[in-house]
Amino acid sequence: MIDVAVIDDHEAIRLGLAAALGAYDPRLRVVSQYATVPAFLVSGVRADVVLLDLQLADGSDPQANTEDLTSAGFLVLIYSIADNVRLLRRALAGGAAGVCRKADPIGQTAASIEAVAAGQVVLSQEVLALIEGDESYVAANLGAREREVLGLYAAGMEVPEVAVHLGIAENSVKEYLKRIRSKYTTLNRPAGSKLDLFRRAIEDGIVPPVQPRN
Amino acid sequence: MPTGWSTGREVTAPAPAALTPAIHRGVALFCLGALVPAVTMGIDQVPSLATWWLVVFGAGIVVVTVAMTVVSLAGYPIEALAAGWVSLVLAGLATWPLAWTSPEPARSSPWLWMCLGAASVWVALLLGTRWGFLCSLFTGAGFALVRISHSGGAITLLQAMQDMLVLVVTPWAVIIGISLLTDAIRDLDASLTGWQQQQARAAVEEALVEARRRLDGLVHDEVMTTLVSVAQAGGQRDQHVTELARHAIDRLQSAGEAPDDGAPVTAEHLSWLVEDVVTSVCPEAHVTVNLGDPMLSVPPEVAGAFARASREVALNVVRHAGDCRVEVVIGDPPGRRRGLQVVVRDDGVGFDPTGVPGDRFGLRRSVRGRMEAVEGEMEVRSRPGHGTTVVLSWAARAEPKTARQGGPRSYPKLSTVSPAALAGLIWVLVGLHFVLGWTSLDQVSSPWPVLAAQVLATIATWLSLRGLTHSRIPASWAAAVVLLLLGTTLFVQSVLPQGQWPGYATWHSSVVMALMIVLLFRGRAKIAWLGVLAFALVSLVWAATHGLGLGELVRVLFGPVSWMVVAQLASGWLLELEHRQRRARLASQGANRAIAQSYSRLVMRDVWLRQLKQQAGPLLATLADGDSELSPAEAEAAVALERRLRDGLRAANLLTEGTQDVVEAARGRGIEVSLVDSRGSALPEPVKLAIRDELRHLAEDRSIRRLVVRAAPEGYPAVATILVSRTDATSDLLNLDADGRLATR
Repeated sequence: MIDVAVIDDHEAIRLGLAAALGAYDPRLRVVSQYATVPAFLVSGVRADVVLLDLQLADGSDPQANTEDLTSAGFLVLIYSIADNVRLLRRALAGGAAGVCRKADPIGQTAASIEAVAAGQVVLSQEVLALIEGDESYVAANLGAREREVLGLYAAGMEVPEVAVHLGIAENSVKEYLKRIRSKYTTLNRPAGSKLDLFRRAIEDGIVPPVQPRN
Repeated sequence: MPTGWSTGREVTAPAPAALTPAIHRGVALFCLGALVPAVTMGIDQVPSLATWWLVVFGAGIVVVTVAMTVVSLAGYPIEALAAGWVSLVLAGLATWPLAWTSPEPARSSPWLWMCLGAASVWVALLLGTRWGFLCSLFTGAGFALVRISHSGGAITLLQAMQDMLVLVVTPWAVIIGISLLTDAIRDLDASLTGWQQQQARAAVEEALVEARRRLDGLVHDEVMTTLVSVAQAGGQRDQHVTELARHAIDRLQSAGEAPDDGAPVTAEHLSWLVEDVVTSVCPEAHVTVNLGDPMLSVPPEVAGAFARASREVALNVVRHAGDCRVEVVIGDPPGRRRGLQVVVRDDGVGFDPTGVPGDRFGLRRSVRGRMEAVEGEMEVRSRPGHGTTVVLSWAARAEPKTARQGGPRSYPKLSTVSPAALAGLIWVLVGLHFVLGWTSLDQVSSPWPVLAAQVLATIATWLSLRGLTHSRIPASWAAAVVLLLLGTTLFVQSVLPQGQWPGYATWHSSVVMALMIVLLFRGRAKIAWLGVLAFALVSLVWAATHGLGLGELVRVLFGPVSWMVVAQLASGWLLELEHRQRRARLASQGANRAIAQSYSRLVMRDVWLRQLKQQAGPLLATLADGDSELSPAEAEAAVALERRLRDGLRAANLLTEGTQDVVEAARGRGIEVSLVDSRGSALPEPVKLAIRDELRHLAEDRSIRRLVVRAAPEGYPAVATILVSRTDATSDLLNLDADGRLATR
């Protein structure tokens, strides 16, 4: 039995998800539903996996939310619609074990919940593409081979395809991806430099993307 | 007066057109000033001149000079007067020998020489620089001939050559100085216009991004949540979903209730808007902007109509014309009407306009209706196989409502004159006067003090031009220049002859003049004036102790003092213009912001909202109607729409007009399509087009199971990739470079 808590500011989403999960797999049980992280934390409810909406109506920061939840001992799976790239990166940096989309088929969401409950880090193309897009991280932390694996995986290749393409074992590909993924979580990412702030402003749509010079 | 520009108009500085009158006024004033030494010299010559000459030329020149000054100060053009003045001066010079009645040769040079240099400057201003140079050569030669003659003083050839040199080079210096200034002003004007355009574009971008963000928020919070809830509910009715859908509809409705109440825009701004709108729909379109009056004020509803109609026409080209070249010309309506015309021409398949029912192509209703509502027109010319031309036009009402008159303004700033050119000019002037000094060595008692003076003057010149790029010269350097020039003056005066005019042996006064003007322009006006004052005092003492009259003193002092006055006026004018420029920049920033906001309000938000309503409206309406059951097809449509909106939010960088339709079509054939944006900056347009076209092609391929399109991060060899996975478990990775060219690996 896996106990799931849902934190989302839309009641329709919470109710819909609870109903759909229960109907899909009886081993998954939604034990509590809250609109904010503090409300969930003070409730004292125990859950194996917390499904956390990225953008809550209280305007809280996804990294802070994820950190609060992980430090309270919860495993966090981000549950998002089509969210802001920067916020997703913040949630990953805060220790979220994975990202799934609200619009995905319910079976996929259930599989992600099970994987997180089993202590795995959920590898998905979406998450690795997010990491790949974080240029300063890639440049500072990844070796040539890691970048190559990341590039192919983010471009859409499945693990076996990447393995064939590079002539290495599937397990090695998985190891590379996991390493890239876990490095990203533990990374401290202060938004110190001006360049960093500028990048974030672009990600947030505050500043239009710069047209690169030819 | 359009409100958006009210602040802009207050600070309107002279337009380039107004620069010419300012220069003309300055030269006219100089001609008037030159009459002072001319009269002091001419008084001696009057008895020797024929009456007819004195009446026609003498009096004529004086009267026209005064008239030029008065008319130009009153703000009227003086080109005709100046041409008359030049003719009088030149004819006066030509007839001078005939007018000389005295048997004695003239004792001083004809007073006309003061006017000859100015005549060359006038010719340059009226006919062009080349003619000015030519005129100075002719007047120089003519004057030298007169000087050699009995009527001009019967001087030696060497002395005549000196006069000629001065008459040729001085106007050249002035003409070059004026053209440097004009160039600088033109450059500055261009840079200001460019700056304003950049600012306006940036403001538009910013406003659009803001509008888009708000709309994205709306899509995200209301519409997508509703659609996702439907998907979760598996098509079952749910009270929450009904409420969400109703709320989303309300929000969409209230977001659309914004009238065209923005500020009027200029024709130029509107042309950018039309260009943006057209190229966003049809990036391969070639846009030409050719506006007779870029500042024509266009009411907001007309701007909105043009932008929406242009978009509609461009969309029609993309949808119906097939592969073709698209040309867009934004310009004036034909004839002499004031207004605006947008012509969209393609060489695509074309059609028969008479055979097309009214609503075909959506042109009649949406475009014509829109243009007619603002008293504009639409005309469609087409023949099957011969492309289509759509002309949108609008005529401004009779009253000329220009937002700013006279086009872009000019704001000169001397520091933009090339420092090297300026320094070169000064060195040439100084060098010329050194040469005059050498050729006048027969006038002085000893050559050595003259050479010493020239060494001092060389140092002074070098010092005054040092570091010309930082415009302000250190006070200590300026003081040193003044002291060096005083030394120069004293050295020269120590060897000048007693009781007679020493001719060009007083070469130093022009050097003093040139360098004091340099000091003035380099921010040391007080020191420069002190220098001129000291020079005047020293010259006064020299004139008194060498038995010279007032005429000679005026001759030495006239140049430095009059040019200093001109320079002082010019520099004051420049400072004032710089000040105005700063204010204009501030004002145009505000105006740009207002215009940008009205743009986004007027057009893009409207376009986006309409798209969104078209996409989501019917489904939301069904969902909001809590009574009816959802069919599986409707639930499926909700999922598809959510995916489409999601792509629009997350992968907008990969999309261009038509891409989403292609993606939709591929998904409809059972191909799983994902769009991923890992790039921090905007994807080049050719890449977006290549992606669209490649997807269109791939969507036809039955063996494809899955497509992943990704914008790669900056710095990768491939700008974008398309992963093609086939049902037989093979896959290809297509790489696109920055020009949209394809390579498989």
